[in-house]
Amino acid sequence: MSTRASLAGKGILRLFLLLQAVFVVYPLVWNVLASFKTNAEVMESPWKLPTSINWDNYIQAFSTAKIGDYMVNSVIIVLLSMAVLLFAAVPSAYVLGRMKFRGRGFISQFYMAGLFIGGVYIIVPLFIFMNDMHMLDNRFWLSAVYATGSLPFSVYLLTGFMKSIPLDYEEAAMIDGCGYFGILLRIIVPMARPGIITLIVFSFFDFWNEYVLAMTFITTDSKKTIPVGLSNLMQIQQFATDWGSLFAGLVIVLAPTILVYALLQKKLTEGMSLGGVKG
Amino acid sequence: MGPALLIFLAVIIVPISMSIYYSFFQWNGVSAKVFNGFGNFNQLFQDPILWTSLKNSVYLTLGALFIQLPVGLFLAIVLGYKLRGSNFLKTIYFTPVMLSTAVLGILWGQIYDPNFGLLNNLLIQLGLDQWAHAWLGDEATALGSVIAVVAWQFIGFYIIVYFGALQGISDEVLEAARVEGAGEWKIIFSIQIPLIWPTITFTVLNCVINSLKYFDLIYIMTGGGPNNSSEVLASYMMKNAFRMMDFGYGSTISTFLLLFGLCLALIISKVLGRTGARFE
Repeated sequence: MSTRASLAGKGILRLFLLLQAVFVVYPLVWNVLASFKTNAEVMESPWKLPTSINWDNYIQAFSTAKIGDYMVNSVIIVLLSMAVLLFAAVPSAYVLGRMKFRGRGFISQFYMAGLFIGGVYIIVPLFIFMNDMHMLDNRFWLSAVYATGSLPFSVYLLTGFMKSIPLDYEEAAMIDGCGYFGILLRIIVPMARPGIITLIVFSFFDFWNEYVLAMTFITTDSKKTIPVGLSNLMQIQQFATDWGSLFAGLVIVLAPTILVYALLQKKLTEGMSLGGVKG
Repeated sequence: MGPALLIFLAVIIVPISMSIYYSFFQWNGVSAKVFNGFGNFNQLFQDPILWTSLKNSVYLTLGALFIQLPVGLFLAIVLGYKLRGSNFLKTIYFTPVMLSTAVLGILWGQIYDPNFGLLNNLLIQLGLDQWAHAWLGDEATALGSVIAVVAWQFIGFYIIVYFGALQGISDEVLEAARVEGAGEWKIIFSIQIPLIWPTITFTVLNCVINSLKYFDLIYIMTGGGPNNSSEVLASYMMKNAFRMMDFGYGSTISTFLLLFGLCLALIISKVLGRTGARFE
């Protein structure tokens, strides 16, 4: 839009954009560079490039800091949470998005209310409840809590997608003798696929990164997820002053999210505007 | 439908009521609960750390509101000019939103490190040696340092949200204004901002609600310290409940936080609603 900004104006605007980009990217790049440095190099100067790409820090992170074990826990918990979430959210959104019945508005709003209620408000009662039910220190129940916590957002997101599917398909299927579950599985799920994929990606980020609940509800070290394990690693490394492998550990957690984001970012930002995160 | 609603009830609504209920008891989670009436609330209002935490929570919230939202809106408007590379930059800006707060907390802890951290080194290179110090270890700068990282992580979220909203304004409206001779500032303040006012209202509420319950970065970067100088309501609640095993008092703090948040949300939506109505 050349009418909108003069050449000088454009230059200044570009400068602002670039500044923000450097501000965002540089800390991450610095982290990656530091993960290839030896301890002496880390202490020397933060601006220098590593003298060579050595993977020792990564090997160290996997062998002595058990990053691999934490990673397996995280993967298990992410998969379990996602399975529970989809099992609960897809049918819910189907009913709320496509059927008319008394109380639908109430239930939708009820879910919406859940969008604003998070972690710290309920963590004490949840802890006590899980303690009474012997659900603490258990990866499955942590996943169940994760799934439930994302339910409000997920139902909200999916309901929007489901509303946009034309009713004709459903009616045609029904005339052909298809039941509600048949319709859900054969028609609604395939047609709402973009929504479901958006949901899976968003919840991957949420579950992979979650820290507070994982820290509180899991006590056994061998069951801890990677963000919690890593903050433990930080405490240990502070004594050992093995900075290089701490940085390597950080990269190991960040890399999968950055990779998934880079591959799917277009779908994600589209999903965000479709699902109405815009408000 | 059925199972989802049931677990939702079990995991969200019931615990909130339970939390309010527990706040009237003296209880360490193991021995029997002792009913304490308003005793916990009395203790709460006389607890100096609570007031520090409240003040810090308010600072954290204001910091988020007055850094993240205006910068986000500004950059979203700039991106709207569709300069070359805008799409790519948008992707970059959003990246930290997707990353683990725990990891970013550790990473920024290293950046603020007094010995080999980036920030002090940068200051020294710029000749500002006297500014270099232990950012997280100093009572005066601990909270501010965390607020900066929160902004670093979430500005991208608001850029994307505002950008999406601004795209919803039809080009014809903007072109018409330009033909009429409206300047760029006039367009921003008299057309773009009023037209995305519902989105702004949503983001303000979202920002306040999330800032009040904010906890991760504080816990990882400073642990509320030094000397409670960066304690916020959520971290103080967690400390009481899970470190000191005082579930009664912890619940009292979280009830206080909930009520405070609700009041604030109501006031904000009233005020912003009225401003919004003026635009119509």
